[in-house]
Amino acid sequence: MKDIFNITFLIALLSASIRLSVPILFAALGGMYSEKSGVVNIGLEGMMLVGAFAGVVGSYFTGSYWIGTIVAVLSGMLIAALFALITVKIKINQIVSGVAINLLAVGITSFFYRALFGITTVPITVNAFSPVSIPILSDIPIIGEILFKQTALVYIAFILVPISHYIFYKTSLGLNIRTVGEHPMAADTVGIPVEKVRTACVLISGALAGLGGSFLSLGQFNMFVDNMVSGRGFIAVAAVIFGKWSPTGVLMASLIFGVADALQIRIQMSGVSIPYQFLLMFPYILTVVAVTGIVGRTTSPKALGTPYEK
Amino acid sequence: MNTILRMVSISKYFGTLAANEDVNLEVKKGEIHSLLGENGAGKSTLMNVLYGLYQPDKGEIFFEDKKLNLRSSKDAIDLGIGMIHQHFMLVPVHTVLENIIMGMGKEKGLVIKEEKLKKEISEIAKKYGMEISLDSKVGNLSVGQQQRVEIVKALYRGAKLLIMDEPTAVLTPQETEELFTTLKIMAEDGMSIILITHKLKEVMFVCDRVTVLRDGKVTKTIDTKDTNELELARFMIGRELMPIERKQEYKVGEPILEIESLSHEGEKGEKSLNDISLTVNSGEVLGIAGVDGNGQKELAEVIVGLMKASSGTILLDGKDITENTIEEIVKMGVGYIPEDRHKRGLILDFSVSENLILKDYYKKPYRKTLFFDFNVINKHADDMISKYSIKTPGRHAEAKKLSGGNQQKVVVAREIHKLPKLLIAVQPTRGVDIGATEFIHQEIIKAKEDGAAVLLISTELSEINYLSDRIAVIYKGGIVGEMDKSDFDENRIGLMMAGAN
Amino acid sequence: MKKFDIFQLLKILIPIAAVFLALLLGSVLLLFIDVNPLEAYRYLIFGNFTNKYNTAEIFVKSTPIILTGLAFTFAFRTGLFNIGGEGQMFAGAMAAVFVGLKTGHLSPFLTISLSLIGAIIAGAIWGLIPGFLKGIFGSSEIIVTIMFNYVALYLISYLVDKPLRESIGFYPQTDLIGKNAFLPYVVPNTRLHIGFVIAVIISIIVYIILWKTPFGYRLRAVGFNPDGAEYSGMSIKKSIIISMAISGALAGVAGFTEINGIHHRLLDNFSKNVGFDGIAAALLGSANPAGVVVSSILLGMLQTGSNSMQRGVGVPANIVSIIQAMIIILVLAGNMLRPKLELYMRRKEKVIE
Repeated sequence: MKDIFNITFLIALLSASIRLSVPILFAALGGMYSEKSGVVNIGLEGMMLVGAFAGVVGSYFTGSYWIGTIVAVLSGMLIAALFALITVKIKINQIVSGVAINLLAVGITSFFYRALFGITTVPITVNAFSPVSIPILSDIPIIGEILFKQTALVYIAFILVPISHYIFYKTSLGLNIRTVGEHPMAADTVGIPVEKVRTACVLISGALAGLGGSFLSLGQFNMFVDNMVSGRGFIAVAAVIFGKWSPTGVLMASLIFGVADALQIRIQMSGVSIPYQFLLMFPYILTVVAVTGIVGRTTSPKALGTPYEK
Repeated sequence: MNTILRMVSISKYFGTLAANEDVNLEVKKGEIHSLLGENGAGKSTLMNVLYGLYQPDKGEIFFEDKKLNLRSSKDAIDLGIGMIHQHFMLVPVHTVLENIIMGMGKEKGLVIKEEKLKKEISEIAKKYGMEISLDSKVGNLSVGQQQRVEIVKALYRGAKLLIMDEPTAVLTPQETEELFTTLKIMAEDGMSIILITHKLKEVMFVCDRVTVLRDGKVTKTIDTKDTNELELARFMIGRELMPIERKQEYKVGEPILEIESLSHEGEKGEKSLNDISLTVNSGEVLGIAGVDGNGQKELAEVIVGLMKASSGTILLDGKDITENTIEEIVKMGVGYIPEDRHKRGLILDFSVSENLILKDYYKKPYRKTLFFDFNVINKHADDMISKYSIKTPGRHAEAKKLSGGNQQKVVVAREIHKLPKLLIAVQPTRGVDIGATEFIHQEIIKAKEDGAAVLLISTELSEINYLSDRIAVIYKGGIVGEMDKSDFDENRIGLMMAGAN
Repeated sequence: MKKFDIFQLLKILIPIAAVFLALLLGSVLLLFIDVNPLEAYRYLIFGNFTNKYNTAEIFVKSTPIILTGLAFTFAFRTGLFNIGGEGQMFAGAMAAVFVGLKTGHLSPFLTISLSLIGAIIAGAIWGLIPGFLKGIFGSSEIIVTIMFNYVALYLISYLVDKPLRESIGFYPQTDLIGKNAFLPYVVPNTRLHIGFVIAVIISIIVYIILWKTPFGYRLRAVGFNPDGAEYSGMSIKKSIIISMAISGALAGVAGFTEINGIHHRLLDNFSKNVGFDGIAAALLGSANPAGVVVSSILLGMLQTGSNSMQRGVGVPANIVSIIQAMIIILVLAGNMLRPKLELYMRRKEKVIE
């Protein structure tokens, strides 16, 4: 208990925090694309679940976790396409649609898992990512240990942050997305195809959520279990709000959730006498605190949650 | 002058309702052409068809002698048709630059080249004598400045034909004049402009020709020099206006509403009401004139308790109500026709009968013990519907299914039928057809004659002039002048509305 | 005489069509795993009616779904999204078990009433907190209620692990509640308990509150248009908090019927997903109480049937979750497209005239 806060512990903690923040970061970045275009996506949870499952299936049948990842991305997009169809095109309420997508994802993954692998007691394992040390950078003391000895998907997740920032604020595409999310009618009058932009953004969110899911099943573990996302998709939705709809904000929010999660696991292992269930609750309570701290919704895209009708 | 635009027998239906039927419109190069008609006559629909936002159900459009097949507004923009909507199509949180270039990715490239774009835009703005700061957030600009952004936005896209939908609705008379000067320069430069309006004066003043719409059909196209306001009004309304009946004598009674040095601060700490003092007596209408956004909404909402005053006092019938909640003030018998019937005045998803008891739903006789008494509620609804001639499929129809005029009648019926001591009416006839406008005006006069003190807040000077016994002008949250009806002078009031003394 | 209204018919036709279409899609999946869909659906549907016990199970399963469905409905009708029915049900269950353990020796009427009241209060609190955060801070009730599901889940896990663990201490579960706290059965030799009757009665009460009282009028007004409600002198904050508390209480009752009627003790992961099934039932029943009852029974049927399907032809029972989700999506899509369809039909009618 005494040496719990020594340097090795800290390095391990931070390294784990980074790793644990990645699935949330992927999904939250995805959620941000969708929300910036005006579509609330609480279906992220289901999209992640589908990604986690599809990643394992891809890796199982090809032996390549990279192909697994690609399958995860495509599957995430597939279910996102359904979400886009019902929210953007048919204009069903976005929250309700998200709930339906999540139910569907639970059904699809658990059904196909049993259909493909039979009703097993021990989950099947597949080839998964292992850490890649980046030359030179990984030799930097402490920082190298924390940042540069991670799996490939971790690096991809963090590179996506500046890329997203550039897209949103320096390109006409990003301007189109922001315009559609703020004032779809204005976007329409200058010829921005509102429904196409929203559909594209929802597809991106599906791809990234799928990626986040595959990181869970192929980056953190090497297997799929029912409901393995267990709320991370919802936490990602909260991270978008907490991060005030900006890529850097979302990064910060994801990292905070990552630290909370890592801390929870460490404390559980160190045998501190707090019941572990309370530690498991911690990220969810933190989320509640986070959305309560953001008073009002002043920075949210104006048209968030409202379908566009001419 | 050659023709730039020909729209031939355009028809457009919404559901089974014909918004446009067999409409013909011809606009010449370098001409300012007015499209005149009342609310709901089909002007906006026609222009949305021209701008590619709606596809017509019938008819053809020729632009520069080419037949058009517009699929979206993008097609219209590419051809050189620009449109400035009544509610500006600007994103408040974007900069001016972003608002001007949004949607131009194809022409200007994926990556936004700020410096180059700024140079191009500044040149265009300068050419027509408009100054704009490209880095400001649009939300921080005045309405007049925002309109300039809209104009530059259209010009930057190479507009040859500019459609302007009610551009003066939000401007002071002086700003209006400036706008017209700009428009005239643009027309001389060869631009064609379609000016959508229901204001006859503007048509006569600035337009070369006018096409009048009524009930979705064209009633006349004529050169402005060959006509006059009276004739145009006839084309527009289809009949003579009925003069309002007024009792010759009316008695001004006791003061009902007394406001003393009232101030209010907005969310950002800005003073939206500044030291206002007013009195409204029983049996008179006090009209508050002013350009939109000068504190009218705040004044009404502070009085009824929806907003809190930062200083000053409000007396109702001698009682201090400054600190009272809306709930208490509603109970004291204040009628309030709010500015925005969709946002405030109605629950659109509720039925007409439910809306008619919005402020009395918990009271007897509508309630028996814990439950509603639907017999009473239905009877009340039927009474109101016939007394205020509300056109509705029935008392159970949702309010959102009614036309704007009839929705407003529901609000007016609810607020007036209980003979309020004080009636606050904000823009009571905005977006309402002439028939309903006449009706609502009569009801307001009636309420006054029944002894109500009426505070009328309107941006329509004609309405203020028509109904008020006294007139005050509001500018930037302060009262800049007050006069009797007999001293009404549009020019003077116009100057006051712009802040001049 | 009232004219035969084809548009009214359409309203009922859409859910029915959705169910059939979803089953059709499900049959594609069945073919994919080499199962004869007709065979499988025979088990899914008729498996329920092979004996009294199975038939009663439909209503056993539907009881908590009705209640969580009413919880979603109540919030939805007052402009709120309560995705936390699951957590509120858990909260109700915790209270019911606690009361059942402590007062199980009292007379049945007393201990059952106390359990019910405890569950109502606990569920209400679990709904009230998100309502309060929404009303005062403007926090999204959607996010908060979702998070509260997980908090409640781990709270149960803690309770059955430590303080309320059974006296022999073997499984992570509580002792049985007192016999007197068991809900009486309404059909002998089945598990069908009086909770189903309670759920139906509550659905009638919900209907009356929402549509027949000034109290419900006010809550609905705030839900449809908070600005308009405020203008007419109603307090938005108060309404939001009250709505969420009532919604939570309704879901809390589901915890009570599950504990006192079925499990008779608290255990980890009991009645999982019932909160979300309730949302499904509410959407399927177009968020009106009678619709909720009917759709809950339908979902109950699918779920009991899926078990006999798994036993009979070895199809993973989870296929029902897919079918269920597809039904919701199709019903909602159908409802969105209905106005367009009506318009099209009206126009055709006009042309014919």
